Amino acid sequence: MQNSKSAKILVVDDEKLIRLTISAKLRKEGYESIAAASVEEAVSVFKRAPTTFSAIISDIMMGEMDGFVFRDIVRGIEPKIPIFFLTALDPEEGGGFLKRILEDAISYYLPKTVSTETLLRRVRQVVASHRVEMFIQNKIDEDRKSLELASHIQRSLLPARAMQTPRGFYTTYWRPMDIVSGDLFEAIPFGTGCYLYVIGDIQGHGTSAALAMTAVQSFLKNLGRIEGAPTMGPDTIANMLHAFFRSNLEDVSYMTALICIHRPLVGSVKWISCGSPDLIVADGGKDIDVNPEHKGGMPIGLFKDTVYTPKDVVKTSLSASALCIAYTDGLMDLSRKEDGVEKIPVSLSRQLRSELTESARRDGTCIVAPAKYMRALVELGYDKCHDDITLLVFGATDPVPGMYEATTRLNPDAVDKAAQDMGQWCREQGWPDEGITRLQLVLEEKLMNVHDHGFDDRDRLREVVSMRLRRIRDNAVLTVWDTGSEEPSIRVAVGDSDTAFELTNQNMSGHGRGRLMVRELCDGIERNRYPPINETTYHIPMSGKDAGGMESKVEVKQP
Amino acid sequence: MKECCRKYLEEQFAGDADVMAEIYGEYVSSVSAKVVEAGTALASGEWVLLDRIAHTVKGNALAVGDAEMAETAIALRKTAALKDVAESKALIARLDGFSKEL
Repeated sequence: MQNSKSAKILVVDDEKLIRLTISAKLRKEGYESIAAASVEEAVSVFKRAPTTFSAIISDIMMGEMDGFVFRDIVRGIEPKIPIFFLTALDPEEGGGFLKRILEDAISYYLPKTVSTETLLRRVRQVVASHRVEMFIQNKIDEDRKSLELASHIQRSLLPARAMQTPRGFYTTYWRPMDIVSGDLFEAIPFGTGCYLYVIGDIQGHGTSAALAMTAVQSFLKNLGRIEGAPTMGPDTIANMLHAFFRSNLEDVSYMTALICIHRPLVGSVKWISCGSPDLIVADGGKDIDVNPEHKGGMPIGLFKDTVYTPKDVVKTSLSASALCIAYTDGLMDLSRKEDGVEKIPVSLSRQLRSELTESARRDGTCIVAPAKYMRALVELGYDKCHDDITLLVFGATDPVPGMYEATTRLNPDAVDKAAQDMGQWCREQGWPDEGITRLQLVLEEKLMNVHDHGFDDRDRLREVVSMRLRRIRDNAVLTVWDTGSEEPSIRVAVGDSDTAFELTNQNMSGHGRGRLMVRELCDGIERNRYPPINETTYHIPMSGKDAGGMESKVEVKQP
Repeated sequence: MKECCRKYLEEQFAGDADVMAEIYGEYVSSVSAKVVEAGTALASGEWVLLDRIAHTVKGNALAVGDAEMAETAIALRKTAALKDVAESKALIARLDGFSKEL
């Protein structure tokens, strides 16, 4: 693999004799040697084409800048290039230079008395090792780029993260274990007011599972277009998926899946578990035993002769406040430790679920419930992910009196409509026109801000934003949830001083198009994050707002 | 060419006469210059500079296999560290003698 003729070595020494000697030795082996007489010259040469060098041989004591300063500069450009320190210093002379050389894992010591044979052998070994490492790293980088592209493709095949209609809503959390996912979910309008939900987990991880996921997701996208599809039961859909798997993905994998048809108008959900965790139905903070007969079938595509029948289907009646929860088993694999031990106890997940589902309906936060649940787990230390995770929550729209909830896509027309719809609802509540105008301005600014940010991010072009509006005394309190990055963009560590916290607040409040106008229109703005969801709450006075005389109070809460 | 240097360079460069001549020529001129610099540094009491010069001479001598020059340079570094004028002067004179024999 090593071909010294194509390897270029930078030789740095302020003594011409040493440069001549080392260069002559390297040329003898077929290396190309570039000599520099000072650190400044070496940096200049190296910066021009850092990746073309296979190694550096440098003196330590050189004029104003020594070899270690040079190494620091080089590491800032090429962290992985091997550096040999060739020095007449004797390790026993002290000064700790040997220790300093060895502080860096890819720095090597060579005495100036080194024989040609030894020098060339060491260079040959290290350059070969460096080349192998670079080759592997390049392959990894290439694979990673491909995977990132695959991840974008996967995300583009998923439906909107959340949706609310006058009859029902769904909301999701989807997180690959490592860039791409073998998990999938689909939400397809399935007749008047109804939705078909499919949540699936392709067996295995990585590229093959991700490719199978995209194939299944594409199949599901077309399913909604089949004439008469809304008359199908979950078992029929399972059989179609099974046939698709056996025909196209037989040798690749199989899939566990939960297929649900939600009919909010009649208050029911028909569902089938194909080897997946059962649907959870929570009502009033309590889980309902929805499958006492343990109905269900085998995973899709696993066995050739599997047939799903109506007997495998569960029909569950739902109250208006019931929440249905579907998830892939990766959720239960979250743990406190990298090695996968200390997984979430069932009792704890049940308790969290109970608290969240109860408060979600009461506070109008159903749409952010999956992200809140995930953040709660992270706060409890269950942040080590060992499998892809998908969490889907759906239910009937059950408005809280005096509270407006909606989810909108983010094209300009949809933003206009969202503002009009909200204004209409406010007028129905008898809120003052002055306040409604102010509220609509704030909402439009926020939505257009999120929309504009989406132009440079293809994943966010399909962004949906959810809103909740209520009146607290003289203020309209508008909460907007939009999708941000997976990780918090600004971290406030526990124990940070108040000053640091305030600075962070100022920085965050300084973000965003139209922020000045929004700040003038609001009494206060609060921000919170449930990764990847950003939560922004605006306190908008309904009357008597003196735009110049009130200071905006901005508060940031971090996970 | 000093015999010990010739043997060393022949070994290092497989008898490549051109390379040997270039390297040895550079050694001769650099050592001569460094010895002069060493004398100046001693005269002006610049001990750090003297130590640095001695270090360079040592490195250059080792690069061409000139053991006695290298040993003398090492000794000069020690006397420079002790700021011993008399010993340093003697050692510089010795280096000068060696350089003239090159």
